Amino acid sequence: MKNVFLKSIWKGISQFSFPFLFIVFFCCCADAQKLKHYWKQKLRISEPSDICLNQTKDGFYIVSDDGLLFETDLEGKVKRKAVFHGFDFEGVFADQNGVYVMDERTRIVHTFSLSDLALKRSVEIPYTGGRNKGFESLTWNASKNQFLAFTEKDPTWIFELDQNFSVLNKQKLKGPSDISAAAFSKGKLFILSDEDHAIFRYNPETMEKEKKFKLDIINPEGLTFGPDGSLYVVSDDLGMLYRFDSKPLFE
Amino acid sequence: MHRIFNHFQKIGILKGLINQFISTRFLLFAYTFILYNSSFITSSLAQINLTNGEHSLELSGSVSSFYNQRFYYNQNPDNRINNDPKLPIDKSKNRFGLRDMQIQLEGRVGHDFEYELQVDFADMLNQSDVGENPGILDANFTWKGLKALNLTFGYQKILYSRNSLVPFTFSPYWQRAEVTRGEVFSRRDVGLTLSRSLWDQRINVYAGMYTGQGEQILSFNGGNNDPSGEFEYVGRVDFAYPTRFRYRDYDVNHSPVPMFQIGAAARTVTRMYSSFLPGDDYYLRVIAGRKDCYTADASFMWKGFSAQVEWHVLNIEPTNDLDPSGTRYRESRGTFATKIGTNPTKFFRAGGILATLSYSSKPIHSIFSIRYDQLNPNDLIMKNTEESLTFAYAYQIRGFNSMIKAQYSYRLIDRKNALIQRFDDQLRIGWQMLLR
Repeated sequence: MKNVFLKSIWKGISQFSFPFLFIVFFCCCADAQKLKHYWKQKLRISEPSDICLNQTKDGFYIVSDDGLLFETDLEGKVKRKAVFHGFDFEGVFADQNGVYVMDERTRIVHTFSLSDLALKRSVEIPYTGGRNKGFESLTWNASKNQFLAFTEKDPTWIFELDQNFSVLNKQKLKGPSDISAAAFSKGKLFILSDEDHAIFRYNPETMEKEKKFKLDIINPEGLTFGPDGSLYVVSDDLGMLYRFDSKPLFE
Repeated sequence: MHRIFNHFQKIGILKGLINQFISTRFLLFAYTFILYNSSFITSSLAQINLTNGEHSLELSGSVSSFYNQRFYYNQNPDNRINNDPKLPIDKSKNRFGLRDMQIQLEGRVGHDFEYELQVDFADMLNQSDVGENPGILDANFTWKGLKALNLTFGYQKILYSRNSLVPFTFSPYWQRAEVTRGEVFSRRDVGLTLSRSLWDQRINVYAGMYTGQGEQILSFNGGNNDPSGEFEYVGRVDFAYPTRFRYRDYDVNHSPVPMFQIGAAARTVTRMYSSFLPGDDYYLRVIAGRKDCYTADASFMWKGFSAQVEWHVLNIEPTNDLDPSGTRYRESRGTFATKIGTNPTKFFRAGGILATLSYSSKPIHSIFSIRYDQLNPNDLIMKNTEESLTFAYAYQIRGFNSMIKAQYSYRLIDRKNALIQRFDDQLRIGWQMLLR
């Protein structure tokens, strides 16, 4: 009886699965340069979702899915935390005027003061896309003096915003499966995709994809460049801060 | 390839397919798909979200439709019209089907309150199979105010089987495995679930208390509990490493590191008198008597490959109040040799396993999957274990939001065994559109 059972299984597998698996393996291919982290640090922040360099370049601002804003040193150690508690912070950017934080769930950009991380201003950017497919990133395009806000997926929009967060223009972005974070460095726009486990380099003038770099980490949600030019990436699920050599990104 | 071609010819599948494909029905089928394609493929399928800054409401839904082709085993009299061997084969299962027409409302209010309402209009009109396809899918709210524990109250999925917890729309298959599709144990009920996550959601612990009537609580017996007044109690724990593992079966994002999850669950219920539908095929979903269920599962994902194994066992002690001779549990099995009344044991066991191996290929937007699936609905009866291999392929036009799915079920059983319920191979192909 057992033999009949095993034979019938083998018959099914041999005659159906092998061609099936052959097609699968035939279709496997590698298509991008891989970046490997050389340093990592566990954060005492639950579900970190984005990161940016602070204005004094001696630490980072990190936001979390719990709606919290933190300032850390360059090793990821928390130095202070904002009192205001939002809902689902997904993007952060800082300049000499404040820290700007994007709440994905409410579509609100909050501005915090640099001195005490107190909430100064909240502006809504209307967007009716999925609750968890809303704004994932906020960054500054110095060449156009505009903020850029990115929606996560279905579709991935880039909203161009003035300094008061009024929408000037929006366009669709092609390339990544989704967007987790975005940052400028040396005139290039770098976009992080969680689903692709990759960073995409774009020409910000044409918004054309130039190159793709695979990452070796789970659930990357935020990226920024350190004072020495190193690439930093935070992992949401693992609550980890990773450092990469950024040279390959510019080759 | 020649050998495979010969095999197909021998078992008649290829011939059957060719005949069907050139038929009018197939042309209608193809035409329907072209209409689908032209109207939806270029549009954005994101759900709609409304928010006032404190309360956000998300509207989503899904539509899916398929064509079903059954390859009948001609010698079985059950396949004939009116079960009469002299009449032609009953081909009523060769059909188009509307599987889903769902609307879902999900809301979040402040930090501590969430709710979920989900209805399937296609299933509301078809009450013959409430286990797998109930009309109401969710009507519950969650309170997170306690911080240490989340409370979910209302009609909800029971946190028991991992396979049952994976949303069906994230699957290349058109049917769940026999053991988890809602015939053997209820998948939804009204009640209260307590949940707690630990260590960055790597460990999840659930405990729940429900009516024990399953999906029938909404449609039979006026919403009343069993006369015993007893409830069903369910507990589940799972552990994932190196990070949290959502209830998903396919590695469409190609995890760069291996991910594992193991889980175990148990449930127990005692019914005095089951005066409502106990299930369509096996009379196991809700029984008069005591029913203890146990399950264990393991999942793995890495670089597009994924595998799941799930094991189930049910220990059932019927009261036989409705059926003193014990024939209720074997009325369609054709044997009276091991009646419960004359057997030394007061219980019987049921159970099964499912094992799935899959690969998701990003360059060709495809998911390939093979599933082994076994169910024994009563261990007191010899040779009534059903087994099948199911092959599934999905072409993802826009991820899971727009996906063509095809599955072929190949029955691994002795086709002359009259005790077996399902022995005909089946092809099902269709399209799912998610508005999410």
